[in-house]
Amino acid sequence: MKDSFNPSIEPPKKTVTLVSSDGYDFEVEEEVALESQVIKDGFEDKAVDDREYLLFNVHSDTLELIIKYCEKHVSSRKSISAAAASSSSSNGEEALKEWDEHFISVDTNTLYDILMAADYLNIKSLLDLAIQKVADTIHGRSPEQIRKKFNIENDSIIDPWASE
Amino acid sequence: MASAIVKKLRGLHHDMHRKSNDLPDEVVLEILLYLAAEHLQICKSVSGLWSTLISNPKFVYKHLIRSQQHSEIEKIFYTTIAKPGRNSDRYNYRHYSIDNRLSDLTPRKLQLPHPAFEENVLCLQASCDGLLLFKNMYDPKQLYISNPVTAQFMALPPVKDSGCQWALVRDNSIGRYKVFGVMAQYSFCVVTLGENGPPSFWDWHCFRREKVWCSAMLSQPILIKKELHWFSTDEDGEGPNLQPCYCICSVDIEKLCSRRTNVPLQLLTASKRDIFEVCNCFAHHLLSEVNGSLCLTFVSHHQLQMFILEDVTNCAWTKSITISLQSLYNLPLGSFLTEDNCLVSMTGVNSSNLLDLVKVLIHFENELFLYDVKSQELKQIGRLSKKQKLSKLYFCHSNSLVSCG
Repeated sequence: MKDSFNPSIEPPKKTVTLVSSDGYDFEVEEEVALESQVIKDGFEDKAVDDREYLLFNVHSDTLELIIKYCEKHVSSRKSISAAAASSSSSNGEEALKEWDEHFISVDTNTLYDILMAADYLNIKSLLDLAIQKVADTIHGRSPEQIRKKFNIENDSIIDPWASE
Repeated sequence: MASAIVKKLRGLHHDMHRKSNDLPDEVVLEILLYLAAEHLQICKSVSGLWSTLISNPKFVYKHLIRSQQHSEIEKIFYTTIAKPGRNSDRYNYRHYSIDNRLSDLTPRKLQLPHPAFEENVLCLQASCDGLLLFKNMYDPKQLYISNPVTAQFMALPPVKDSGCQWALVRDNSIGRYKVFGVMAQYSFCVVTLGENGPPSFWDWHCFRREKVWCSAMLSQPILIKKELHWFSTDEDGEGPNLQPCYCICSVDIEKLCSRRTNVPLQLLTASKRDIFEVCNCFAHHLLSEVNGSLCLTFVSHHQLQMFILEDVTNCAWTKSITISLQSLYNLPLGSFLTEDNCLVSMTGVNSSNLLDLVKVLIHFENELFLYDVKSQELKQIGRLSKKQKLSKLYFCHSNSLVSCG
């Protein structure tokens, strides 16, 4: 019998193409790309065969990392909700937190690139992660150290503890 | 899981790598939101731009909201301001918190009205969004408001009556802070901070024309949504049928309109004689918030009762719990109804779990204890000199850069 229902055969995954600023194509699953709020907005209005996004502000090195992050989060979400549905215990959320921490432990330039890309693509959780990481690196630093880190010229001499 | 990335070269190969060292100002601003208030105060001296960004009231409020959501709020019951050394020109704020933590801020310069405050001159009266309200114990009509992080310290105009209980709240409709002084059932006074420099006078409002025979403030005022509530004695009926009773007084902090909700004597299983008694001694009753409703904890000689105001318009109370004081273990009974103890309420308690709501703060000799009504355990939570008077409450405090003027 033709066309019999067989749940084990899934339809082929829909994909979209992301193009980095330096001209590389990345073909990713639709749900992975939809982690970006910018892509999600107006996604339905775009024709199915025209699902290509030119990301002028994201270099291929950074885009690769961003896609890795989104894939991990999509798959973790699935396994966490599957574990919850079968009410089996899962440390999925903790494991994901650990993975995030490892993922974001990169050099300053890469961190800034990820931050800017997450901002541009509007991926809330990644933006949060990156900003927290930058904030952690300047926490407790002296004004002089912060000036150095952000290339800021010193134009103010005030005593922060003096009453205004 | 195999990576879904298919990478292929397009032939184009511009390298458009950004110069990574410069983050745009709006991103820097976003990063600053994630820093602790104390560190932000130091960051003001990074540059003129940073100082302007950090001092902007919109930024300050956004930072406050974020830090209240993301970090633990300290429950402080006492704050001292003292010089760390005799010759120091700076002052040190020290917060005593209910979970037995002491937190110190870096000493800072303060323009205190007196050349030197001793450690027990200022008594904490109220707290809101990182601002603290102090009363001068030697001059109870004199109040001060301060933000320990920004070292702002300001005297309020003297009050005409020293018998008020104090509350510090934020009026969200105008984005300003207000100090309320409430007097039992007949009047309250208010000042709004930071309109045109320090406020110059208190605005008095009356609930009723004449003063009633027995006026006693029976609980600290608490804020639920937009209303300040406190428990007090009152009179009900007219002419010869005038009866003493209990009531909840409420003031809308935005519109300043007031109302009263009667608490029937039968409900409390109290008598008129009890009211005369409470007028003459210190009251231990407590108002708390449970799931947005008002909860009254009423203490008599032998028992503690808890009621929830289910329906405000119909004044419908439900009695939830009665605890016999004699049945409580480990509670130094003799000391329960003294001036050195008070009931404190916990935040975020569910109405199905009312026993978690109320704890007893006990100031004995130079030690402070917290008694848990549910587990019936007495726990030492810190040391506080007997000279330093507790203000019968603890306050939720989070460091912020909020300005009071």
